[in-house]
Amino acid sequence: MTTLAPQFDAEFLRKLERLEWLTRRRLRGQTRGEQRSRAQGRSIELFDYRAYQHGDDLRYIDWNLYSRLDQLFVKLFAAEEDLTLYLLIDASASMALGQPSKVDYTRRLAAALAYIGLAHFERVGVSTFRAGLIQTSPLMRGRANIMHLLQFLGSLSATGKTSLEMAISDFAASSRKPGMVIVLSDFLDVGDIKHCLSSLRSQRHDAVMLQILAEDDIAPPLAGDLQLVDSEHQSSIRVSLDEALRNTYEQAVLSHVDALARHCLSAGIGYARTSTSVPFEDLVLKHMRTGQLLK
Amino acid sequence: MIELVTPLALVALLAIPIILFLYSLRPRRQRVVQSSNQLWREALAQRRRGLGLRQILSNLSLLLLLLSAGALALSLSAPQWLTQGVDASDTVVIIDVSASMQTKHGDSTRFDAALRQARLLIDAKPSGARMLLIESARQARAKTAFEDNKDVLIKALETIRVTDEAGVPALALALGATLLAGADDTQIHFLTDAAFASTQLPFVPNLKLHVHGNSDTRNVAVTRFAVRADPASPETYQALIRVHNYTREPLKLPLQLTGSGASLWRGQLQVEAHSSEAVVVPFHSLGGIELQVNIDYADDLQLDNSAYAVLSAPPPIHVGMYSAGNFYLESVLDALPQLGHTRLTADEFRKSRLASSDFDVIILDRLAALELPPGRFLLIDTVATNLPVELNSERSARTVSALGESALVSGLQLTGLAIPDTATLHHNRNQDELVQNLIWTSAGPVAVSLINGESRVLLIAFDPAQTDWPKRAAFPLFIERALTWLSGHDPEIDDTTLEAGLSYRVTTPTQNSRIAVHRPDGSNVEIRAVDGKAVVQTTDKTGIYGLSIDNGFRSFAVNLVDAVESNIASQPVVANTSEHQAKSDGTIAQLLWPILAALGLALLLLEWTMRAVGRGGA
Repeated sequence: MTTLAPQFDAEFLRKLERLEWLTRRRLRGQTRGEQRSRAQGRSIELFDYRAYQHGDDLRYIDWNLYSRLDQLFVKLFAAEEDLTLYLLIDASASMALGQPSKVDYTRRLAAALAYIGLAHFERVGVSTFRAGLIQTSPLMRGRANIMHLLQFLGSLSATGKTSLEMAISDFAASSRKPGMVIVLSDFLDVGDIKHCLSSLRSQRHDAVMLQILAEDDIAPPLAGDLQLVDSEHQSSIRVSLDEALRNTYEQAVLSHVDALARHCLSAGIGYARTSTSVPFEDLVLKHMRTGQLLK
Repeated sequence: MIELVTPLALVALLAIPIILFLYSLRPRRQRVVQSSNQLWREALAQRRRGLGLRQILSNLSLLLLLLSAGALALSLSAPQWLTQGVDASDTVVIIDVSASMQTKHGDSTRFDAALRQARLLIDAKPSGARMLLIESARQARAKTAFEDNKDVLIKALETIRVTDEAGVPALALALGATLLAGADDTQIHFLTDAAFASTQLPFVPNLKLHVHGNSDTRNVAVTRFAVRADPASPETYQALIRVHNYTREPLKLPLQLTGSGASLWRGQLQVEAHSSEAVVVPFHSLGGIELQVNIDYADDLQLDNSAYAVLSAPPPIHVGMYSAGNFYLESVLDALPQLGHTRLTADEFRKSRLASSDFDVIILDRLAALELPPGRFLLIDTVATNLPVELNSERSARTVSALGESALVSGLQLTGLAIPDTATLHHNRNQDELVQNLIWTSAGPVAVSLINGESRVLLIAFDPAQTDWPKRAAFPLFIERALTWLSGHDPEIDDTTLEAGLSYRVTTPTQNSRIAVHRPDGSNVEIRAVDGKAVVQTTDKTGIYGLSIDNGFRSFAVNLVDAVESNIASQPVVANTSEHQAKSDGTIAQLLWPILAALGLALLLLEWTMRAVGRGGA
């Protein structure tokens, strides 16, 4: 399994260390970290005001406002809290396809993203899912845990069926603390995606759907009389693939990913798509920064 | 509408699952694992929506094979495209009304079906198009002129009746072609059962033959019925009956010969399949009877199971008898119904000159005649000088020892008859005379018959009154036979029988006689003679026809007796017509099997070509 663990050179790791996660919502952490929390508290940074209520600490009444407006307002302070990064990795059979395989690409990407979090002393947890969560690592913090995390990723294998709904449901039940959730999958068999997205949002997670497709998924290099076998369900269909059908399929793929992107946008959830043909370093160091996932 | 003639042939559709099985054995497609087939299914569904029927072509090779098998199986079941219609501007519709059109199919006949189709053709006639109706039997008769009025055509159609006549379709076709000659856009529809030899059809352009019939039929028929007098025996006749078996199996057919309703003979005739047998039936009659032969067998056409003949009564024999008195002979002459006799005394015989033209037969009873004129004579115990027969002068008692071979004495019980006083007869034959010895004694013949040209003489060398012959039944029989033979009057046979559809010529006693024709179906037709002659033309039904002429009555028989017409199986249609198999409901059936067979083979060829060039359809 060790051999399956992603290998990064030192230069790349230094570049990763210069990156940090860019969240779009304030997240509540358990310990002080480098991320700003939505939990109001007694830190030094004023976050907001609200009308005074009976029982509020009189020390936090803003008397300047009272003198100007003749109304009592209580000062609210933003707490500086650590970020919890959850990586949900699709380990179903469809991820085994592609050149390089989607699961290898995902493994390297997850390692890089986790390393960014660990390097910034964020809490990082990795879970794999198929028809539900199948394996979850403990939350880790600090660079020292990178080896544990890589070992965890090295044990990842792509088999079985996917059920994103079940996976999200399991994750929602197990993660009590909101954080940044990055779901890495090909999202080709998503079921009720709206329900999945609403589940994540209801948990107040800052979620990102990172769709990883193989070039074969987007533009299959196929022709002639074929029996197409579904990698997960083992069902097959008989097609005689010609140019017209191939175009129709590619159009269907585009429609599918566009629909996924629209759903994410409407749910306030981030979405990014990549192909395994995109060089890994370019994805992390360029595209994800451009897509405002990293800064 | 499409109908299958042999639906059992659809069993050939079992080839379809075989094709499917064989098709499943073809090389399998390349298996390719995909991340998910969901998007492929969407793409296929989207493509099906976009392509419509081309979805069916997703497996064109298999589809072509299945279509080919289906077309070939359908062609085996002989499908027919049922249509009806008239598209020419001038149309002749010929309806076969010959006897075979009476063949039954279920509850209706071929003729009924032809009428229904004719009605449909009239109904389908475009406005302005003209149509002419012809009925075809032994003669061709136009029932209308060229008419565009459907009502007129329908009324004419309602007057058309099927006949018992043998058909001569060539006449009707020739008439139709003649009437259409010179016109453009014409068509002849011949509604028939095709129960005739194909050679009977002449070449007629634009002929459409609508066949209301089938080849699987059962029929037997009297194909000949002739009656003749037995030349060897007066009052005995022979009926020649020929029966044909048109079925595929040998039959033992019950036959009955009746005379004016009374049974004359019953018997059975074994007839092999598709062959005929004849039987000669002897019977006795004095004439004046209506004969009918009947085959008691239920078949598709009953009409030809009977045949008819009329044995008219012979004219009365006028006998002049010169006698000194003969009780027994006069009693016999009085008793015979067909005789009219005049008794003349010996004095009258001596005073008058013998004139044979006044009587059919002259009897000379023991009165010697010096010389006989030409005529018919019965000489009893006397001779004439100009006869080649002489009486032997030695008379004595004799006993009849034998009878000759003549029909005049055939079957008579005369052997041992004692004759107390008789001479014997001696004759000198020459080439011009025919002499037969009738009654023999040990001393020689005592009765002879002689024919010399138109003259006939019968001589008896003794006086029967002196024997007990008159007390025997043989005496009146002999006298009746003798007078009938001498008179030469036989019942009329040949002139009283004809085939249906032919004309019967009648000679009447007066110039302008009114003749009532009593037809077999009970209807009466009146005709008038011109110059003592008349022609009965309405002989379309078989049976006995009666003729009431002035105060007299005579009859004649009309028969089918046609071996070709009785062969009611539809024959193959000749090549110079466009064949349409007509249905009982009057529609026209266009045979589709050649088209379907060609289509099936073409589809096979297309499938093979596609495979050869490696083009499997999506």
